[in-house]
Amino acid sequence: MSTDEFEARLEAFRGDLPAVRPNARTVAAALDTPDCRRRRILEAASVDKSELARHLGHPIPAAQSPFALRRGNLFESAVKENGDAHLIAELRKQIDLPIPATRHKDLSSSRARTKGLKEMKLRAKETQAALSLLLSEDPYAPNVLDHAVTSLEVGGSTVYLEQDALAHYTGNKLYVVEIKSFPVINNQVDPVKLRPATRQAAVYILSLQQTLARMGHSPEKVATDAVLICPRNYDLTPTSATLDTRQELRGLRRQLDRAASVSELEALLPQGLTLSAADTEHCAEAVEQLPNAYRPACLDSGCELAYYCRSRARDAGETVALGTPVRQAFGPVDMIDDVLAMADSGIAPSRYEQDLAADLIHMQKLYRAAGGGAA
Amino acid sequence: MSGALLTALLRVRAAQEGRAQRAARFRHLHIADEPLVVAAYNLAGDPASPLGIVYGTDRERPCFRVAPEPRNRDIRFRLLNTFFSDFVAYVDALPEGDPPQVIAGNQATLDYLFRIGDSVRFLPVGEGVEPETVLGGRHLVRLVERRQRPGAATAVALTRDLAAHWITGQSALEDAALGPLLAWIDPPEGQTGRGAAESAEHTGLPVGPLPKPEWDEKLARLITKFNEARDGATDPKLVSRLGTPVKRMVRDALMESWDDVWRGLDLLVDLPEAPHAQERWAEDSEDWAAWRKYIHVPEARLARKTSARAAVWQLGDREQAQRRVEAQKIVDDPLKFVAAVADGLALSGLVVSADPDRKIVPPGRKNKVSRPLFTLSLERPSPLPLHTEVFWLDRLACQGRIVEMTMSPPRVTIEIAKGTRRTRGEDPTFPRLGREARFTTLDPGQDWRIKLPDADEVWTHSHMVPETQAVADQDSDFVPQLPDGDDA
Amino acid sequence: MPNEEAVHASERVTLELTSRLLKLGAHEALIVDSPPGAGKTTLVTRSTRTLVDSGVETVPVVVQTNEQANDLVKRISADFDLRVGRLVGSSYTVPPYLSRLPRVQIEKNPGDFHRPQVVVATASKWAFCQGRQSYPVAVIDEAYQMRSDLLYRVAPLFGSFLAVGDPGQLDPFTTLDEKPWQGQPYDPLQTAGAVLAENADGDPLRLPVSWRLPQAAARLVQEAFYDQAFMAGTLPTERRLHLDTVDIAGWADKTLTHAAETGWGFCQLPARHTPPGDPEVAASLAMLVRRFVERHPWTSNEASAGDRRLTADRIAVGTVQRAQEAAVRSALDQLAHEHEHLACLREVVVATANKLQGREFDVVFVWHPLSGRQDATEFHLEAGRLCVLLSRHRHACVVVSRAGIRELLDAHPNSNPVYLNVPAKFPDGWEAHQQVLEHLGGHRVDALP
Repeated sequence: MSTDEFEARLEAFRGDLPAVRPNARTVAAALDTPDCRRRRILEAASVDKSELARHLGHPIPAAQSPFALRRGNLFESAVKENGDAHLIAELRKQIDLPIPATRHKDLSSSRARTKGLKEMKLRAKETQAALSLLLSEDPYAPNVLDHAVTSLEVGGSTVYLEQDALAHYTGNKLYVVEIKSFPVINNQVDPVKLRPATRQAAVYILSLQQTLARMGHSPEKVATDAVLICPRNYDLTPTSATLDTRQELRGLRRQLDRAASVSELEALLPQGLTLSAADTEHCAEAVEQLPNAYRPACLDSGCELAYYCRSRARDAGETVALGTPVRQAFGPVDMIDDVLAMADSGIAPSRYEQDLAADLIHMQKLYRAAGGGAA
Repeated sequence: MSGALLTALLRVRAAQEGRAQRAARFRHLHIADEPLVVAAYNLAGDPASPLGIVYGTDRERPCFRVAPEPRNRDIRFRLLNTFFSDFVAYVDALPEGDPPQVIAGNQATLDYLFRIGDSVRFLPVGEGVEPETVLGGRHLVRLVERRQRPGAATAVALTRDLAAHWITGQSALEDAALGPLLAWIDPPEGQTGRGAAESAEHTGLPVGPLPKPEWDEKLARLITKFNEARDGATDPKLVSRLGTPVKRMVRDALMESWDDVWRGLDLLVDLPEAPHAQERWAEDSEDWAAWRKYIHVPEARLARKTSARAAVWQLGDREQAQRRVEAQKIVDDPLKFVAAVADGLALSGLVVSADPDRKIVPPGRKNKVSRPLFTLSLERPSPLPLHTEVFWLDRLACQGRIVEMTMSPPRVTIEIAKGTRRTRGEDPTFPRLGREARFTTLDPGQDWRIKLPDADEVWTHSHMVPETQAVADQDSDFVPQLPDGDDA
Repeated sequence: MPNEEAVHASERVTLELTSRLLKLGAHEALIVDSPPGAGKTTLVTRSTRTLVDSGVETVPVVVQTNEQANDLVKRISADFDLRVGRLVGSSYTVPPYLSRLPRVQIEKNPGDFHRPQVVVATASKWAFCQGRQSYPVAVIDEAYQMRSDLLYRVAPLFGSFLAVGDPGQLDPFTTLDEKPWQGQPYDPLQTAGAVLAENADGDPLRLPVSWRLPQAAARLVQEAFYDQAFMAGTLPTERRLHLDTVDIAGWADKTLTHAAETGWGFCQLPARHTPPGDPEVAASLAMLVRRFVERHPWTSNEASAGDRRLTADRIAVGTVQRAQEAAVRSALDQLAHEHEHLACLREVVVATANKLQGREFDVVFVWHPLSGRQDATEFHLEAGRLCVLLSRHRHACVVVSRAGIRELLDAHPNSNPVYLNVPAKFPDGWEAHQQVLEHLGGHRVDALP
């Protein structure tokens, strides 16, 4: 099946559910749960997963507070105001090169009046044109690209990503600049926030490298050091830091190579399967045909189906719902009932678990003798 | 880390039974007579813009303070000044020798309180900043920081401490939310842990410091109205009058948090206190007393950053504290002991032969030394291999080594090498024939404190010198401009 | 004929080292990065000689464990006629052979020695000796296994350092949460080597040759675990491992024959999720060791004139968890008990990576850290752990694992925490595992027990 045919199949699969554009953040997050085919297919089909979750009866709460959003916008404007005064100041601190005046190109909406995949492809073309001009060293060409659309090869198919970071060109190198509103307090950033930011930057850098290569330019022109600009301490004074993305890039490249190919995904997508907004049961049946890999970390990974998948895992009595260390503790015995049968009887399902079963029954005996039990 | 296999099994059991399972028979944390319970909500996105704080030592008399527009400096500092004034009053009113104890619903709230304290502790007094605010900020930071020392109880994060005493039928990740955690430990009549927890997740608000985005949507509309109405004015009476809708909304939410935190505290208080918890509290008291003395000296200087010397000291002190707490927990609590056995860190057996007076000449030495020998009959072959160093739980100073083992019948022979001398005029005690004896590999650690060299003698670390200062950091050119509400 | 290029490279670095060592001034540090089997101990002992010859009255040596201290004392006493002091803690019992060595004195206080030329003690012991003595220059062995808080405690005693260590092996660790020290000017969890490198003028010196690893292994270990190149000290033809050609046990013999030829073996069992002490992997490892011994291994190499029988104590089985260690030990002891000709199996060393650090064997069998797991934790992915297991051998390394590791790695991408302005930890364990797996794939034999 050709890529176009597969794309058509994905569109058909999406049915009448609304579409949503993948961006760097969602692609980076999806790579955090790379073994979940369900997520891959749904995102490849641009399904609005939060709508889907709602239809399935397990809506996920909104992710971002209006206050946080507003602060983010405010900070970004503050950094860019007065001709990018702060932006340039911070870039000067991080990049040991002369930083010329900035000329922005806003690629957030295309000239054509189309939507969906067509729009993304068009914007990708416009981004490429802007990159071409930028790399030609034309002194009047825009040297900062805002809201670019780049593409990435994932498992043999092309994914279009909308970038919220900037691409800044100076000294013959293209730098990814992320403006984030989480603070740097006493030199520390919450690692929970820093990790996704680094990953997003890596995804952007990788897609820029691929795009440049396709355009006939050297991918080395994209710097692997991204610049992060965020507020310092308790107000909105900007500060900056360099993010070394090399390790992320190495990991990403391997992951993308190993990501399920189009043919694998296609094999998992039954013919004629569609998601229908109206019929919840049918929707659930369709979703259940796509293999998933639920673990509690999904709740933090930004996947809108997390509560739905969790509910199924809990209903089925899977030990993974209790945490991956719990599942790991019992070897292949991954259902709650089977674990308890083993612990109560001391009988192992196979010779591999004999020691474990003996340990469990003994431990249970000690636990009860010591006064253990329900609260 | 310790108790992994038992925890895994208990989670499975709890999931099936619909109720949390006990992980402890005793409470391994001292709870003060009148601790300060605190719950707070922050404006999402800002690091330290408190919407409201509810606090107090009496469940029936909560103190509630709100800042209907916490991004405005005047309004925010009115809240902070009042809170810190009450906080310092609470600290000062404590009897001599009692450290403060702050009880929060979760670690995120403690981290938030740390940030609040940190955001004010280096500010110059005046211009709307009261001296108690700066002092209170320093105290608060100190109390929360102390928490990083294993066994310290000056700041309690209920989710963490409840989860150390009960194992739920959900994942550890999900245990970080107080509502669902309480639902598993104490589900309402007729409900399972899972049902009650999912209900708490769905309908309830988090205990803090962040509410839910959809709640924020509603609040945002009220705050916009408030800002429009006051039109830039910050007169306290006006703010109080116009801010009533915001105040009501925030208070209703925080009162739920208040109730949940007290409910969680009740569960902990119901458990009998472990003997060593009091000993660890005494260490907290000592540390607090030293801090009190220091902070009131006019020349007291505080470090913004941790110096190399402080870091080395902290690491050593905390590792020592951790070893001790781990060992003390299994001495105090039979369930913790079972967890240690399950992890292969402890064993117990019947003493079938005892020779407390044995003396031998060890290899390479000339004189006879005391080396008592005990053989234990076990229920299963020892998980601890030959030559493992072990400590006797009845008296941790008594230390020995496994010198012999048999598989069937399962037995170990332990030779004691330390703790054989008379101390404080008393003969040493040893395991008794015919009785049960318990040993652990967890080394409680010696109680010496190695004196650290003077910082200027340590040339290898001399390039890491932090600044100490008592005033705000003013090295940036950009004057902080805090946006005043919605003005876009 | 040893590898000429290796010999020359090695001599060049030795000369540079000596020259820089003699020029070491106050409050300076000379760091030497030493890949596995690069002759670190020789370097340490020779350096003490060099320093004494240059006029230093007493050269203190800082090591990490008592065993290391004893080994070093033994070496110095054997190689040079220096007066050696062994400084011990008050409760430590010295092994009898040490007191019998010539020119070796054992004391609890540094002041009790009679003009020692070298004093060897653990870092913890030195930390107790504060302020009593002061030495212009000291040697630190295993500087990358020493945590820098210990360095802080001993630094005032010593005016300058020669610090030697292997940066690819297991880092020191803590069971505490490491977050409080990130972003602070100093992270006490850093290694002594890393902190001293900040003090040093220029980059660490790098020993360019591994004399232990055969060429087949040096390339993989270097690429996966080290950021600077090093070469094997021997040519492929020099290290030979010979086994009887008898081939009766199918997959085991096939693996061993292949390993004797190429230096690598990889046995793959069917995929399955198992608890840590997987009896089948344990049995497979025991079978491999048994067949190896039964096929009368002998080696020829550049060091010995003629051939040498490979004795059981030169064989090791490396694991990562105690349950695995116990399972293999028990399987080998069982075989030794049942078959007279296999009694020597009791001498085969079975240990976890932590305990194998710094040791050397002729042949090593490895229980793959990720075998049978559903969850790849930071502990199991740690690069240093894998590096230790794959760099102990002089002749061959055979890895045993269940299938499914590729899928496990795919499902668990790098999840190390990221801190601001702290460079990402190199090497990345996940990446190293991928490289090793790729390499092992070329040597795979399917084990059908």
